[in-house]
Amino acid sequence: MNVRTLVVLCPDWPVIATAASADEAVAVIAANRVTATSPAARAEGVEVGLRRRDAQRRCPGLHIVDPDPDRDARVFASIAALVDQFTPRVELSSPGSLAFPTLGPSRYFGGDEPLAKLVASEIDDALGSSGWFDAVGVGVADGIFAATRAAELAVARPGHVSVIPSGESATFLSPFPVSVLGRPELADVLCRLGLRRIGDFAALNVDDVVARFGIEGRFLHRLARGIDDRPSSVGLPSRSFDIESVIDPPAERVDIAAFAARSIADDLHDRLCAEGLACTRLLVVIETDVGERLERVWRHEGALSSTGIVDRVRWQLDGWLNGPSAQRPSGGVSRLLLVPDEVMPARGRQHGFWGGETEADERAGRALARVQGMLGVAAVTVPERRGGRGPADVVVRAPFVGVDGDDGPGRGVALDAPWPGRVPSPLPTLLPTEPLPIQVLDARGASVWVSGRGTLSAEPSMVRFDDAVGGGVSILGWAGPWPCDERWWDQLTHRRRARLQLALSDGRALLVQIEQGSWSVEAIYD
Amino acid sequence: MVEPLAQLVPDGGLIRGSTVTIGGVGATSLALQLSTAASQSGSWVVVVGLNDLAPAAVLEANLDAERIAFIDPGNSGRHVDVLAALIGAVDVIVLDARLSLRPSDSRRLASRLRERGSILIVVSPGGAVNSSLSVDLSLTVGDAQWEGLGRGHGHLRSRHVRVGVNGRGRASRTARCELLLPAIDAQVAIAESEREDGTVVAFSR
Repeated sequence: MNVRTLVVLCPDWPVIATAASADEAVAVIAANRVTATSPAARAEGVEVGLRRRDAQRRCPGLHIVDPDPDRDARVFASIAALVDQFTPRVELSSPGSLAFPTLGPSRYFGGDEPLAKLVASEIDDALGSSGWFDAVGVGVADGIFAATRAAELAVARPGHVSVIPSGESATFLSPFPVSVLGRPELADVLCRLGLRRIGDFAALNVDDVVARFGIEGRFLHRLARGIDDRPSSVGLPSRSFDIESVIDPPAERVDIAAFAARSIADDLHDRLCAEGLACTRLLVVIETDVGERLERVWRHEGALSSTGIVDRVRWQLDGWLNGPSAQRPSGGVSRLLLVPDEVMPARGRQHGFWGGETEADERAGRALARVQGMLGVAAVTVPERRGGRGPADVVVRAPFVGVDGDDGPGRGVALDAPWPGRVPSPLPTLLPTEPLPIQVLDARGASVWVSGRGTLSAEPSMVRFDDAVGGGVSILGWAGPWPCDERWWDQLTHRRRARLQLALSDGRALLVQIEQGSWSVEAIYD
Repeated sequence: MVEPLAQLVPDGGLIRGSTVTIGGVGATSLALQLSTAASQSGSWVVVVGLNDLAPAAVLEANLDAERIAFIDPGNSGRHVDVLAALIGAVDVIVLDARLSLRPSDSRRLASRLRERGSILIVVSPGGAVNSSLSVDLSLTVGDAQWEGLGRGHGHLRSRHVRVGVNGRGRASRTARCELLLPAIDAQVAIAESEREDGTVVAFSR
């Protein structure tokens, strides 16, 4: 089913967004190629796709601007705001181009043509106030593809409007070259087959197209025949799915509040299901009768089921109501609000048959999410390879994200880049969480130090822990010093230190480091 | 259970629902090596406490990075709740012996363990384990001797340790085993030591 769509197109938008004046020769050049030009530059022969050198040769006074999609989008927001007065369903495709389905607005404004004229004159006036007349085109057709082609034509027309009557998209599109389909490889093949116009391509039998070009070919073939069934509007306003429950009298216990959560979670899940949607991110807000408010966002890579929602509410309540007394709320839970923050089309969820996610992973993920509910998200961590020299840098603890065991890519990916001067394997098993000062002494009991050239002042023979009473522990073997001067290019993170490996007479082995003249235990081989 | 360690315990592996304590210098390494086989076969390993445990050493012991998590109960005093949530959901739980359990909690957790079939490994790095838990198997690491480190040259390569095994039921007779923990490849191996009479022995009961 084709959606009648209106497209607003400003082909020169990257130039307009630079706030250049309209009669100046300006070109946006990305990766040495011209990507957008001003009319004055075009008059001098500067075309999209030219190399920088060629563009400058044709127009010596050319003002060259770097591309900045952020700036383009920021400035285009003002144009989108103008269109907002015609319809609330504006969809921004890219800076310089927006679309909306005309169904409601065109009836209100008396048809596609008057609506398009209104939109065009509104935007042309706004752009004209800064000198950019005739920079916009408005096209109306069945589907966004045909409407965009119409808008391209409309830019050069007086009135800047081009309306393709309903059902005539295929006829309208047929004289266009196949390159407008936006697939250079396909256009190349079609041209070599002698199919230079969209109409030639559209005349092919659909079975032949699928056999030769597959699913993507089929999709493009449909576009060529004027059938454009891509949805033009994405995402329903998720606000409408907010659901809340007032608990009266306020619940002091988890199970009472969880009971209230169950009914609204089922309700929310049913409403999402009815729209064919699943919740991937849920904001749970809990308020107490004395005005305290706790909110937490729960994210799920798959789709939250209704029990999944209830579980998360319960874990959060559990973590809060049964938590340490300092954090415990002073009142009962009086209001519960569930906000689906992010929704996606429901696809169902499948366990891996070989490898992938297993039931054990899901069970473990659920338990870990529950622990996160009790202790806070940061209390549960997983190892993440980072690469580095010291034992603390190679692998770090990263917060466990994604309940139900799904987490982002990259976890556990081996980073096998060479790190010259890294601490050799086997790695120490314990890293003291607090700095553990130590004294490294030579045979005469004097402190050992490392010179600027990385040599030891004397052979170390014993260590003494700062908190230990009495004598030290003698050193059986030692190696080092291994000087390490890291991140010298950055003042804040620069570290210069030297490491020693020590085997002590009591069987322990330590990795100690000297930094700014004082020794400390970096790691313990336990 | 990794091959060299299978000889160490009476049934050739850790039994579901059991509690194992590990103490002494080298306890952390032994706990990691004990968990390796389970992790490799798809079980989750969750470490509760032991905030000083180096994640790099965990991965070096060949535990599956995708199936391990660390939980820091801090000083919330809720480690018993955490354990209760984990038992049954994950197969191997490594617990810091410094997190104390009341006798009533210990009984409750032990019965839950037996019922749900998780394995609890209580680790006391460098020290002895004083726990109110009823222990099925107790391992004590001692007599550590490092190799590979000279006076100013080389680096730590392997450690020779003596592990005492003590337990209930079939493990009630005390056994001793000499291990390389870690061996040259950062894994674990049976160490062969020569007795005074010249016979090579690795394991004695």
